Amino acid sequence: MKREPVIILAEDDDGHAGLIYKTLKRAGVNNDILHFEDGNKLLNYLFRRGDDFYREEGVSHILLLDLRMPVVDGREVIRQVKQDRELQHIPIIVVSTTDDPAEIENCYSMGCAKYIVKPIQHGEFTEVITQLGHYLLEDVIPGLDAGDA
Amino acid sequence: MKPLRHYLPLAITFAIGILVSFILFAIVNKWENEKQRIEFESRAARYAHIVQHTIHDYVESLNYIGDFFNNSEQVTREEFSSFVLHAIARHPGIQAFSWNPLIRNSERAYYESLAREDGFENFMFTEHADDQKLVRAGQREEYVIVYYIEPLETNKPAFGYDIASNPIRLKAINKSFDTGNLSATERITLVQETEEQYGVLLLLPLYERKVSLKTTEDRRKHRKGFVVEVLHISDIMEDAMKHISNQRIDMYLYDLSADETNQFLFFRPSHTPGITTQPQKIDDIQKGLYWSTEFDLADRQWQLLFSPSSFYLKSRTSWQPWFVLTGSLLLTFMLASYISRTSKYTANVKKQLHKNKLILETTMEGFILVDTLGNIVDVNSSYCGMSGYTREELLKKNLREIDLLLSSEEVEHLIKKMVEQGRDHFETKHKCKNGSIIDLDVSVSIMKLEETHFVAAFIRNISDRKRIMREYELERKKAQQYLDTVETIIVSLDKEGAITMINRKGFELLGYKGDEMIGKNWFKIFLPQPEGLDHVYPYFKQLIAGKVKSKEYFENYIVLRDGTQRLIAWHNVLLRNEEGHIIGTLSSGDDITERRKAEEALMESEYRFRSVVESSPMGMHMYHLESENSLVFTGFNNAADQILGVDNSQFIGRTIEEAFPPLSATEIPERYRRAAGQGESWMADQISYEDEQISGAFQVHVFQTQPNKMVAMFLDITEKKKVENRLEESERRYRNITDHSSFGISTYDESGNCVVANKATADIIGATVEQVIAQNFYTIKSWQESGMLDSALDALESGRKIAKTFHVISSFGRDVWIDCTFVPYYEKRKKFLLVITEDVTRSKNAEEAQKQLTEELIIKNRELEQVLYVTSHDLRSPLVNVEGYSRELAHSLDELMSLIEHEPDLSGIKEKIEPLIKKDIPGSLHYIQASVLKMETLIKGILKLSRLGRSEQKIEQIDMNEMMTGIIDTHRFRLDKLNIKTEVSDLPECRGDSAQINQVFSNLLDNAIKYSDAERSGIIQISGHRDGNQSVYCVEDNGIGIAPEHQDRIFEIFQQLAPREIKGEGMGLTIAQRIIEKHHGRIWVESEPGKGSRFYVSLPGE
Repeated sequence: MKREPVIILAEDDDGHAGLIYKTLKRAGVNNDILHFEDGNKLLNYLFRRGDDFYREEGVSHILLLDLRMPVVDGREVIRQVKQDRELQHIPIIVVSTTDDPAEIENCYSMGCAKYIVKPIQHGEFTEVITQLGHYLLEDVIPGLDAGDA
Repeated sequence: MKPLRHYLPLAITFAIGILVSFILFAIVNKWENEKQRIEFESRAARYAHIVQHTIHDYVESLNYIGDFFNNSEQVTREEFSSFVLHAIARHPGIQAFSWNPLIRNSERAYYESLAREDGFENFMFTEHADDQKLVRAGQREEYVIVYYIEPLETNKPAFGYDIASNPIRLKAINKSFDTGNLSATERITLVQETEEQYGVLLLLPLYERKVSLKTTEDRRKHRKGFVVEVLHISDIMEDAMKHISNQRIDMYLYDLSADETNQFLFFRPSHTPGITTQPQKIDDIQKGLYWSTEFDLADRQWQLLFSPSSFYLKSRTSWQPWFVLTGSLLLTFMLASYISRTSKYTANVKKQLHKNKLILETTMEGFILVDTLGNIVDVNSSYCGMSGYTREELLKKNLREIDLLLSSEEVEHLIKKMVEQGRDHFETKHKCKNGSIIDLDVSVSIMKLEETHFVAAFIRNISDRKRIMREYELERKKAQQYLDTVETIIVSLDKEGAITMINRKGFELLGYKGDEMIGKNWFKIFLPQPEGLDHVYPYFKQLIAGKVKSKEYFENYIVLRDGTQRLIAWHNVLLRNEEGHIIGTLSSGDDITERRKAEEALMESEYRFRSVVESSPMGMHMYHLESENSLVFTGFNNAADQILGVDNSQFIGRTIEEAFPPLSATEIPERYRRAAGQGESWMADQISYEDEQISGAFQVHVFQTQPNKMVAMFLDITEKKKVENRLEESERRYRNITDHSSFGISTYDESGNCVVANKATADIIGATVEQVIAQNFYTIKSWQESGMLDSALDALESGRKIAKTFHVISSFGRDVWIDCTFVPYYEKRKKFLLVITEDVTRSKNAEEAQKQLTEELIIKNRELEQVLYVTSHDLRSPLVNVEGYSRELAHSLDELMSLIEHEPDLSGIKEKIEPLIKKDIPGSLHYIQASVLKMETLIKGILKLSRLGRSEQKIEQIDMNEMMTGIIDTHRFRLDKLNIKTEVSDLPECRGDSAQINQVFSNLLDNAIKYSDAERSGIIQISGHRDGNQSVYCVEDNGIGIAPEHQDRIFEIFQQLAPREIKGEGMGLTIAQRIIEKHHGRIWVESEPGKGSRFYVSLPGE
């Protein structure tokens, strides 16, 4: 039986992470959502390092990544993931407050699938994350094979 | 008495006859000798002239070579060779030309090796050993070495020979060097000669160029060497004599300046067939017929002596005097016998004739009756009138006493006729009583009166006619003499120009037989046409007509039978008849074709000189110093006409002062006279001259050509001078500009010396013009330090203009910025560097300030960008939370409200409300409060940073040991709590704002504590040292360390390594860096993750 893909949320701001979690759930995303506070912890999980729990075999992953994180930032995470043969197919969706076009361009060129700017305007944040939830359910999750990491 | 009277006439006849015979002999003999002497002397003089000219030509060729050396910087062996070989080829008497430099002993090795390099492997200096063998020359102070010699092949023994080693030559060398004149040696046997022959060296001393050579001292000081011409006396003489046909005259050449034993130079015997002639002693020669002349060769006096050979005398001896003597003696004897036979009859005849006296007295003809002994028996008055004697005087005389002046032939003829025919008719001379001689026509017959024979003579005076006859006779005699002269052509022409007579030499030369030519027209056949008929013949006709005076001497060409032409020198005489009318000409001619060729050859060198003169683009004026002060203009060339624009022939014959009056006031006439007289060359670069005809500026070069002759060569430099004036003017203008320019303008030569500099150049660097000009840019310190020197050398080397701005701290105390343009250029083949400077300190300072401002602005802008970025990201993040959780709060309240409204029983919904009130609502509130706090912290940080930028610094010397102790004390509580040890070594002082520096080190210590590794006991080490004028401090920890990729970003605003675990605003390092930058210091980090970090701070020490 096919396992549901796991969504990984890398976000240093707990408040942000909570808002995203709630909004995605309300949008109908029922998949498991794992939260990491910095890039280093995320990489330990993906590459099965350290003492914490590891990524399981036979489960697909979707990466929602903030760029500005302590210790190891989002850019470094993209670089390492894209260099790994097993991990390089994981869809990476950048969710960042940075709307610098040079940064956006840089992320796309490194291989991220989507770049979403976190809005702070009244009502927009929930709307954008809701759309992200729809995008995940309709476009991303159906395209994933169980065999993919 | 009678016998005595009878024999007296006989005795008298004898006595007179013999005396007259001997006197005649003596006179004729003397006349003949005189004629021979004159002929010999003129011949000898002609030979002497040719010989002297030939020798002069040889001397001249050496002078040419001397000129070549004097006009050349250096003459190589090859140049020398090609220059002299031409002269050698044309002069068979030249054994060699050589260049003999004066070489000091110190230079000997150099010269020897140089010649070896030229390919003469065995070259060395040589001299004669005692046994006359050539050996290597011994050590002397000076040598005069035959260093170049041509032709080398025939002169090998001389090559390398030290001519100063020979006493004779050394004498000539020293004399020559001292006088500066050409000199000659006495006779020597040449080194290169194996036979016994005499040679002479001509030495022309050469000196260093362009030095004064006025005194003997000067000349000794500047000696350079000699060009030497080696002459073979005999070859020169043969060269000269080849033009002279053999005249059987012996020739001697003596050097009168030599010792008596060495005077003899040369003897050329006449080539007499079958006779070998030995030279005679000079005393012996002078006993006989001789002719001599003396002339100068360089500084020596030579003598040419000619003496006729015995054969010459023999061939020219005339037998006439002897003939006269014998003839007249014979006549004397015959007369004597005749007189003795006839005298006894004379008396009877007288008687007989007396009868006819009356008849005889009436006739105009003279009558004289003589007996067979010559006694006068009767005479008429006519005869008395003719002779001037009275009848009485005559009757006492014998015919012999009356001088009949009959020639011996006439006497013989008379006697013969008388015997054969008994009568005769002849002409004779008669000496009158008063001594005058009259010519007589005499008819003689024998008369027999009273058995006695008498001679009766009827006499007419024909003196007038005879005088004319005699003139004719004289000419005829002269003609005969010319005819006798074998070497001369004699030709006689009639009035029409037809040949009436020509001698053997004449027809043989022309290639005819004698009789073939008689009657032919001389001018038509034997002269070149058309001149013969067109010019010479009309002249001849005029001559014959007496309309022009005869030219005694002239030359023309004749045409031989084979068509060739010969040049003949003619002597002409007009022939007249007895009436005195011109009937033709008699001419004697010498074939001078060969002589002329010789003369022409001799003159060739003069022509050559002339052609040089004529073709020269330089104007030339020739002068002759006729007396001490009279320097006379004698010639000029075409260029002189062109340059001066006048006809220079107008000056000929005038003195220099007359010809060019303005020169009188100058030194020039004296210079010219010195050149002509003393051979002092002179040169003037610029002589301005102006008179009515000539105006301009000239460069003049004056030198002697022959003794007392000089030439002035000149070039027109008027245009050149104008150009120079214009240049000068523009130079002045240029100087005016540069002097007043605000730009520094200076020029340096290639070796760096300042040639010229204007005031601005000096002002810019705070110096005086004199100080600048004294500089050499290689040694100017400020040029080296500022880089000006490099640029200057670059410009000089590349030849390209270089413009740059330099910061110069001049040695005259000025600190300036200079805009500098280096312009290399050439002038007169030398490289110069033009340096144009402009003081741009003021604008440069403004520029620098601008630059600094810009740099600061860039930093500010970067900071601002960072702040903006942070604002857009970091300030946004909390806002998202505030916004998001406010909605969540509203959402929770909405839910609560609907529960309360729909469920009236609150207790029933307690379980539903509880999670909202206990969990969701406080959770949202937590995030909202935290975010607001976070924002406040960020805004505080930004304010702090902006305050830092605005605050004023109070810079002072800081005791870092004291400060560090204070900082550690304030962190004591946290250090102790985390059990971190500190180690502080002795720290150097630094300069800075103590509050800000305190902040920096507090932040660093704060970080070290904050990022300590919990798994090991922490140690923080603080150390410091001086590096130059900087104090460098290090804060080292053994904490968690920083990954390399993050080391750049740690100084950025709001960056934190672990925001969750470690509280802080994320601005500590940003602020530290900002402070250090403001102190013109530096802050950097070295770190390894997991081991620790070292933060370094560098600050000004004093």
